[in-house]
Amino acid sequence: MFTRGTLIYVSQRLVLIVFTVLAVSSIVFLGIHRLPGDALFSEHLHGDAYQNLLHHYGLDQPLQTQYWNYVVGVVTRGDLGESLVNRGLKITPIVTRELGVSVTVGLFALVFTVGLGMVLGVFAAVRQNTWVDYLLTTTSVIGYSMPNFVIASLLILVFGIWLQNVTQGAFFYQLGTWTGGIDQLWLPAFALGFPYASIVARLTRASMLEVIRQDYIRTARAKGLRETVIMVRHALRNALIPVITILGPLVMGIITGGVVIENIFGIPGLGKEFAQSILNRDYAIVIGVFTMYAALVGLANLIVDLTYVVIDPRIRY
Amino acid sequence: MATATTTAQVSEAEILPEQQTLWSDAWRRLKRNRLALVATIYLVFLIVVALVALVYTPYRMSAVGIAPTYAPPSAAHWFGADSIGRDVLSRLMVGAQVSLIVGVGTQLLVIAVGVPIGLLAGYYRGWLDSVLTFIINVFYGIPDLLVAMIMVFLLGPSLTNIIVAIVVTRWMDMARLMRGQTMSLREREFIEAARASGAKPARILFGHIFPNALGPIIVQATFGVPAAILFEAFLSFLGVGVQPPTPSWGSMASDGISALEYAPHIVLVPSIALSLTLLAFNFLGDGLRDALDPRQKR
Amino acid sequence: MTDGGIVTAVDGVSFDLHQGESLGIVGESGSGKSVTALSLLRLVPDPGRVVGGKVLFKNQDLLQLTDDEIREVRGRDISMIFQDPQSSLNPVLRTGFQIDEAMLAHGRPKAEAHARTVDLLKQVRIPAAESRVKDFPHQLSGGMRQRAMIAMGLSNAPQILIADEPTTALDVTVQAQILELLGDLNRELGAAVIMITHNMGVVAGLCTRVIVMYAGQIVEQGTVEQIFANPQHPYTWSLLRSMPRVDAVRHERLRSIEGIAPDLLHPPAGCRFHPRCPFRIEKCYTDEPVLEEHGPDNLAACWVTMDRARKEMGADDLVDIRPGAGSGVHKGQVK
Repeated sequence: MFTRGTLIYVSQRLVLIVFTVLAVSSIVFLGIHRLPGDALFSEHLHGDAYQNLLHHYGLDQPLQTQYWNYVVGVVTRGDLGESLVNRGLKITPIVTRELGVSVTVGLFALVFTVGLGMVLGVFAAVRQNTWVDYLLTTTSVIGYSMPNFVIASLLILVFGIWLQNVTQGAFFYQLGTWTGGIDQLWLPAFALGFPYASIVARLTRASMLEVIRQDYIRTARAKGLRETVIMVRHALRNALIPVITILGPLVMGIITGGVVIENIFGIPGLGKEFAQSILNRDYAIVIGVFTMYAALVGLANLIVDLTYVVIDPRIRY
Repeated sequence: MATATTTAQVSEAEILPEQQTLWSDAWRRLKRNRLALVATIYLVFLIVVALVALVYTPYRMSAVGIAPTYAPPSAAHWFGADSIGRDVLSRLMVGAQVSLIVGVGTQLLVIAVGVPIGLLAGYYRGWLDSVLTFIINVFYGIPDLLVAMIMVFLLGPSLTNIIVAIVVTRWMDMARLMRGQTMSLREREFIEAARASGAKPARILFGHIFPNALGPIIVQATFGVPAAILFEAFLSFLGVGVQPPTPSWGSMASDGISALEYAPHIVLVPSIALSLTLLAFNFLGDGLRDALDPRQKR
Repeated sequence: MTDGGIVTAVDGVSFDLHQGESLGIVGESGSGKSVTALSLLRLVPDPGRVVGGKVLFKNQDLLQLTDDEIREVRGRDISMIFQDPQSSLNPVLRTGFQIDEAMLAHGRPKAEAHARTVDLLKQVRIPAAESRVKDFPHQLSGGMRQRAMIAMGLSNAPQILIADEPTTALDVTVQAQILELLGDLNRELGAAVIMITHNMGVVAGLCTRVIVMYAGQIVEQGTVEQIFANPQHPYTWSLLRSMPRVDAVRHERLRSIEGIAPDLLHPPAGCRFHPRCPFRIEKCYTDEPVLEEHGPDNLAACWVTMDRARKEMGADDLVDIRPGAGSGVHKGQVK
């Protein structure tokens, strides 16, 4: 399965990822640093104190030097710099921790999305034109037509406020300490994943319906195989191929949608940090978080592309 | 047909009838699609509301304190008041303008940017295609919401900048679609006929290939509108979209989150409006796609 | 049931199959030959349905069996292989596995199935069978894929092998090889073969008996010798005449049967072939003919038959075989 060709492909992609991350974060870096006024404007300092501050952050140096120092710092030490708002606060450890949080929530949402969506899609296809099918088709259109913050609000309303016995009070407000436990994870992950689960369900259903009509399903029946076996072993694997195709944009959607979800639920992840830093004008963190995101997206896409190879043996790199 | 027709005119006549039957067929099928019909009615209603809001809203949308804060829906204020006493209905109406402008505006620009790129990549292929495809793939690798957030923040939160930010991060789908369409259309005989009769590339691209790809382009754009509206709602929700006092359904919703428990209408009203609008565009897009699909049996 | 109404794809078809025999079912597209074969194993796809009749196999009516029971028959007692081996094999599963499956489904232990698969591949003359077993279908050529399908069909030593146009999707040279293979297997294994095809040449090479179908009905059946030497139904006769022959006189135009197969939603009244038949008489427009003996080993459904057409209408000398040309009967417009 993982041939020499695959390994070459993976290394090529990794190089491309590094290139893209560097390119994109450089653009952001340069863009931010060309803003009128500068990062420390909010400090309201003057004179020497101001100059000291500038020097501390290296902002008194020419742009090229700043940039070069930054790149060297990231590549060699993994040092993303220091927060502009909270002096002395190193960015890298914070961002790394938050990355873990975001990835946890994202993975949870992804598994839920793909898992539930697939199962429902298959179910609807096998029971085509029954009430199960109609229910799924209608719900799924609504599902991907609602912004995730709308779904989140509704869920909070229902589970956090109206059905207080389920979650012991307005858990939404209780998100002080992040434990990463299922009890805190499930609601945000559900809200994050629901639109995508709907898309996956719809796509799986359509795909299964097509696959079921294929000749090789007829062959499988002619061999005397049981229906369940035919559905799972023969039909499903082929039906998943188009689903895998959208996995890339889907993962991207979960990553970016996570930004909104984290902000609603107060989850201490990269998304919350990003939004907060932009509003605080803490550009150093903005650049740092963004770089992390770019890398995350690149890796996620690579993993998705490798999933193709596993599912469809006709694809080899 | 007069005998003294030139070659160019003959090829025109060959192409148009094919298009006419496709459109009238599609229109007929679309009319039969109930969901798409309902969706269209809703969207027309929305456009009317947005237009009306240009000259009339029940209250000034920026007027603060004209109602008790967090007031629930009542006869005076159909959708209640928000956290600083503004009339939700009035803000909803103006918000409709924002959503529609962003939605349609982005797609028009996306077509203007993506179609030419796709045409060039698909028609000339070779190194031009490789370069353009590479650029497309690079753009696909960047997280769209984040880049848009940074862009809007750097350039300033005006409606134009929001539209530009969305277009910059989302033009690739149209370009890829157009490239695919071009690559398959260029092999068809009528293109060869046009080439043989000496038509210049620009004429072939815009006069022959583009019109024939119009169906999928329209479908893509119809799906692109709700995606753009959603994008803008996200941006506004996070605080990097349109700035107060201009209302956006997204920012209205985010304002109301903290008051979810005792004044849910502040979040729910714009959320429902958003959901219905997105739903309507999606249904319409579905209907258009089915109507324009030549493989449909009916 | 289609949007327009019920289409009777197969109407009153009845035939016997003897042990070890090779029977050919010939007809053009839409004649109902595939559907006939599919109904034997109850594989007719939705929205189609078998609405009447019996399929007697080993003293059991297959149409009355439960789902589990018919599943046991499929692939074990009666096997079917299909036209396009590319689309008939699952692209994401290994070829060897798909053949194993046929045996595993009927109770053979895994190790035995693996071993037998390799043997089967050798039997169908696939070179380097041991390594081919692990290949995916897209890694095999068209001919090899079809051989693999044949191996799959024979894996449980069925008593009947139904082959639905097994060579149509293959290159001409490969076609000959596959047909030869099927013929050898038929003789060596003693399994009866039902060969469905639109190609009379295939039938001539492989089959002992043949059924000719048109518009969902049997129009002629008998031994291959009889049918080819002395076809009684005008359709069969036209088919045989339209085959281009190496020894034909060069200046003759290629002959085809004018018209197209009837719309089964509204089949013609009387004999279904009459709109295209050169030898039709008045009766053909109104009365549907039934199968009757018109010679040794030859049943045909026709009011006229070629014997009479030759004697009275000069069929052999007919150059122009347009509808009604021989009999001079033209009632209304030719469709």
